[in-house]
Amino acid sequence: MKIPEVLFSFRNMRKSFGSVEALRDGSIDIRPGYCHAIVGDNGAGKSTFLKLIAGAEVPDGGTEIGPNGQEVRITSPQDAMELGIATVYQNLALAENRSVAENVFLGNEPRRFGMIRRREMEERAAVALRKITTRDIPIGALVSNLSGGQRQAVALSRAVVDETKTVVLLDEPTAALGIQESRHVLDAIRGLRDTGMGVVMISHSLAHVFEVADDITVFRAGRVTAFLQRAETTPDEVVSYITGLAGAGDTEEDS
Amino acid sequence: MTALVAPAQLDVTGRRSFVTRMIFGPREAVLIGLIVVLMIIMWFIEPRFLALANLRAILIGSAMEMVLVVGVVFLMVGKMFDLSLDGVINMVGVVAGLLMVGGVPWPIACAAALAAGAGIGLINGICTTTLNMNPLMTTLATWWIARGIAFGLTQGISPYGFPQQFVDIGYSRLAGIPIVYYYALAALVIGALVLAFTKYGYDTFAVGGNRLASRLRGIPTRRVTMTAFLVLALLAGFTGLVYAARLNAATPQAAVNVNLRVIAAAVIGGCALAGGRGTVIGGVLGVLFVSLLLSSTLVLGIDGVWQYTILGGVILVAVGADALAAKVRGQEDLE
Ligand SMILES: Nc1ncnc2c1ncn2[C@@H]1O[C@H](COP(=O)(O)OP(=O)(O)OP(=O)(O)O)[C@@H](O)[C@H]1O
Ligand SMILES: [Mg+2]
Repeated sequence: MKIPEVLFSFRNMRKSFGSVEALRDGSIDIRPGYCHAIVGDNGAGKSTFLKLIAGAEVPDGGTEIGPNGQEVRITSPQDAMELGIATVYQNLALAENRSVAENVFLGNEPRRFGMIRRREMEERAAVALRKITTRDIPIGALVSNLSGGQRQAVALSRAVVDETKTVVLLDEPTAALGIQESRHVLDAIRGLRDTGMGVVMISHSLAHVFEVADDITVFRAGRVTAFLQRAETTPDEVVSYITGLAGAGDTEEDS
Repeated sequence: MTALVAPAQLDVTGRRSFVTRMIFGPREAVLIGLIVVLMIIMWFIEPRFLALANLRAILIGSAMEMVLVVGVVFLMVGKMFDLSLDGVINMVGVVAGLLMVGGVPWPIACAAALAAGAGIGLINGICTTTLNMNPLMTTLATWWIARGIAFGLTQGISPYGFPQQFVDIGYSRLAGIPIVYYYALAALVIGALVLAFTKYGYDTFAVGGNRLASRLRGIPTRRVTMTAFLVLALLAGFTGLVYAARLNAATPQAAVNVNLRVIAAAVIGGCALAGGRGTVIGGVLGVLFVSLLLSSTLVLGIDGVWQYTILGGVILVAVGADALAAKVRGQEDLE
């Protein structure tokens, strides 16, 4: 079996909002079976970078390379989903007043002749949830009644509900979660990685990053300032790149 | 691990959750109960209330409101709102009437008038989605625009005396049953099926539940809302044609406060301004309940001018009961 070295490669991605240069130069390689953490201070451009990959925003420039080495263009959420990229946004992922099963499939329900295949949907949602968490989450429950960790599990199971997804993007998946709940989500992330998916995770928690990540990319002021391997770095080194104490010579510091 | 989900929410297959939220739930059952109770009370007070002729009058009078409420339910489930119904109804009736009286063949007159109505729906849709304007203010404005057009075009002289085929739109019978019943039935069946079983229905619930999440999942959120406004405007336009046909005249005041009655019915039937909630059957039962209630006040000898005070009270009770129930369940609505 030939597994590609790199699923996606994003190079020199740029994005401005009006006069705000949110992202000046963002690059990342997404490898199958690896968890790649993106770290950086508030406003460093991490979420913006993730949104470009997810198709939620259209980039101003940059190169996007797909699994077979050919160039791709992601300009809408559909583009990303069709390329096998699933995205989990913190806080804005779920539709209230909708059930667990409905949220797992939100907008992508299995259907025949325009009619939703409810039974198939519920069965597949249950299977997907079991891949993500050992806890029982009733698929008929309204997501409004779930805890933060359970809600995150529902969003995560979107990545495994069909076999076409090879990459999952996570924006601060453990933010606002308690210790127990974070643990469940981190377990799920490891599970996704171990199935061979490429995982990209933004996090402010270095403890969590060092727990699950294999690769670490540091963003600062809209640029990548460091690419590190977890096995060969320390939290202190990562912090020094985040704060700009290290690697400042490589970038033009603007004040 | 502790159970984080209340036992009442345990629904392993999701079947019950689906049926009660999207087709027929406790709310609808309660409404049927209320309708029966209301009829029994009225039967004790005034047996003539249950006379077939009276019930028939109530039903015929509310048939088109049942058609309208189906459109309103879709809109409100998708977290939108439309006050402009009255204006569209009257404007479309007047435009069709004037064209017909002016010698335009009735099908062309109807098509042109409906297109004008659709134009209002289109404005509502564009303003609220592309321009992100507040739906209440937008449709308040288009309500007055359409109203103004209806009054302006008639200049106090309402066109009347339409071709028989046009009058048949509102007055003919099929198998001995008035045609408006078929309109209501068709709207109910098609609306209920589309909302609960199709991609469009699911998208509508999703948009009402979380517009941004829906967009990020690739749901064409603008198109969903636009379609709802357009369909509702067309239903209102069709209602305008039926009203004109039944009166055999087109007045700019054919519909008065129909928008408020229908919105009240939708809310009583389970729709919430916060979106993401409502059923077609609930909305239609809401119309039935409102119509029965208003006509029983008339039978009781309460002057018609008090209708809306009573209706306002009922809406407060319906919304209040929801808020109370949510509080008892321990989950306050965020909106
Ligand atoms: N839609 C937008 N319109 C205008 N400015 C934006 C928009 N999105 C992001 N920005 C700006 O771009 C910059 C980068 O934002 P981004 O959300 O990517 O940062 P981040 O690294 O995710 O930060 P955090 O850790 O706080 O989430 C910020 O200055 C932000 O204010
Ligand atoms: Mg962010």
